[in-house]
Amino acid sequence: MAITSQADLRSAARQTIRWQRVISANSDALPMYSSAIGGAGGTTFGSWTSPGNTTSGIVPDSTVAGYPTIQSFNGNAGYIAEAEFVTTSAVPLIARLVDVLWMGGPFTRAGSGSYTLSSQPSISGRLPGGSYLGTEIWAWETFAGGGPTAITYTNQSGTTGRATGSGPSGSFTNAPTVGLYPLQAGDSGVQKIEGLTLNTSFGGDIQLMIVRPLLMLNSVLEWEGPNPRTAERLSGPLQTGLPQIYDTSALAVFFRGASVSTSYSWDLKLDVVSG
Amino acid sequence: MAFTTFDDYVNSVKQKCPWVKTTTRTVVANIWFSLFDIAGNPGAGTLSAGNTANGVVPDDTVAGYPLLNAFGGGAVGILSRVEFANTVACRLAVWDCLFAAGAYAFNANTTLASQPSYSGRVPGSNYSGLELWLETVTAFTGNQTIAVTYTNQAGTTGRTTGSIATGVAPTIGRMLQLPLQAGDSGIQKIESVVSTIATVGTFNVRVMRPLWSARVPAVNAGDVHDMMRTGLPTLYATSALFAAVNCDSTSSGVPELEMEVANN
Repeated sequence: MAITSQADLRSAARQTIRWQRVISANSDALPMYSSAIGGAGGTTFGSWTSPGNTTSGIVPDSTVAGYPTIQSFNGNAGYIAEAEFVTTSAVPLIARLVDVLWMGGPFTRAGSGSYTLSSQPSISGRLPGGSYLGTEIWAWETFAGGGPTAITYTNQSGTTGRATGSGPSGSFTNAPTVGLYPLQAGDSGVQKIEGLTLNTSFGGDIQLMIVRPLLMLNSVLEWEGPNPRTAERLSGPLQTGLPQIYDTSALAVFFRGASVSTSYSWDLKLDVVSG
Repeated sequence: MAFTTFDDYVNSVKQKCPWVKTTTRTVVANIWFSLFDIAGNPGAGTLSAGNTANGVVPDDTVAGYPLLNAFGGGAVGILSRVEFANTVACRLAVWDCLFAAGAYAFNANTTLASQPSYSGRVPGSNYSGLELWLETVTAFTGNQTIAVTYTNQAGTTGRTTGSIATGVAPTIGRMLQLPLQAGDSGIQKIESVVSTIATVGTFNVRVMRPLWSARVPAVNAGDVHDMMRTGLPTLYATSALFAAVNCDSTSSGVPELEMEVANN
């Protein structure tokens, strides 16, 4: 089944997913990973933990702690029909809702810092149309550290031995910070992580992720004279674009604050339809 | 097929095309800059167009442009939605790059021949509205003066931008839209490229079809433009989506675009 018309949309089964996060302070101007942040603000699905798998990684799903529970679609297709995003912070946030398709770690910087993965589980079951285009590689730092990390991967077309560029240049000093890794020239997606080499000059460890971007949820700005203030962003079907998700999707939010020393709190409500 | 109802949109095949940069470029305030060679997703492209004699018609398979999935048989594609943000206040714009030639030297005097046609990427064969841009590949020493001759939207040959003194020594990535001759509103073909006065530097010439633009009004701000705000511009499965920034200050920031391409 699928939702193919406005009538289908109106008659579809609906469920609401809501979560809140409060961050006391962020010493990095890099994105932070919501699901790593403890259950502040009445969240019902707690904090994310490391997958604890450095040989193959795992395909996390909505039953894993740290991701919101999604009720069964009963064999139907699911979509995000509406999103409400509001921050109580005075400064705007850039936020991205993603489906975490694969995760591996913790990869430690002890020893050589080199890892070669094998028997990675397939992520193809969580890709609409089976297309890997648009998938991205992110790293999640759980401890102090930084510096370049070389990641090899199989690209969207199945070409092996592709390599990312250096990761974010900022210091990953304040967990939980995440950063996007640039793909090799000519690539627009990722099928599989093959291996990585960490800079052993730094301490700490990282988790790697392959994600599928779903929505961008920036703060809305309203102006009082020359001074902007943030307001609620309401996105209906035209604004969300009805991105398809699965009842197994592992939803997470990456967000970036504008200030390095500001507390943030935000609230996200998603209306998920299936039919 | 086409997009004539809201149901057509709901029922369409949609692809998300990220255009995200992971590092910044030093820019000049209030000037358009290309980030084509900056790392991100898609991976970095090569700034030089790679052909000065004929030019090329780039498509989505060229490194630096987002790859697009094939459209269904007979399907029409549109840019149905754009999510955007940046870490700096700026303007953002997206074009379909139809033609690129370069990198030309600072003292180029080249008459092009056997230029490939980009008619297959011009909706309704209407060349009006196509734009002519310079893109700096390597930094210049001395102020560049440029003149480009072209065939206009109606097929009239020998049209010229005139000799344009840029008044600056362009830095890498700097872009400049060239004015067309009086009475012209578009371009079918680039005929010649002449650059003078500067002593060092290289550049591309691009013909581009504008698709979308927006303003990021403050640091870390952004928005979502749905189909009512993108205006449903036509896209092709081979379109070479090219984005650029025009910033309030001297850093490009780390811009993020999520473009939705729908086909039905």
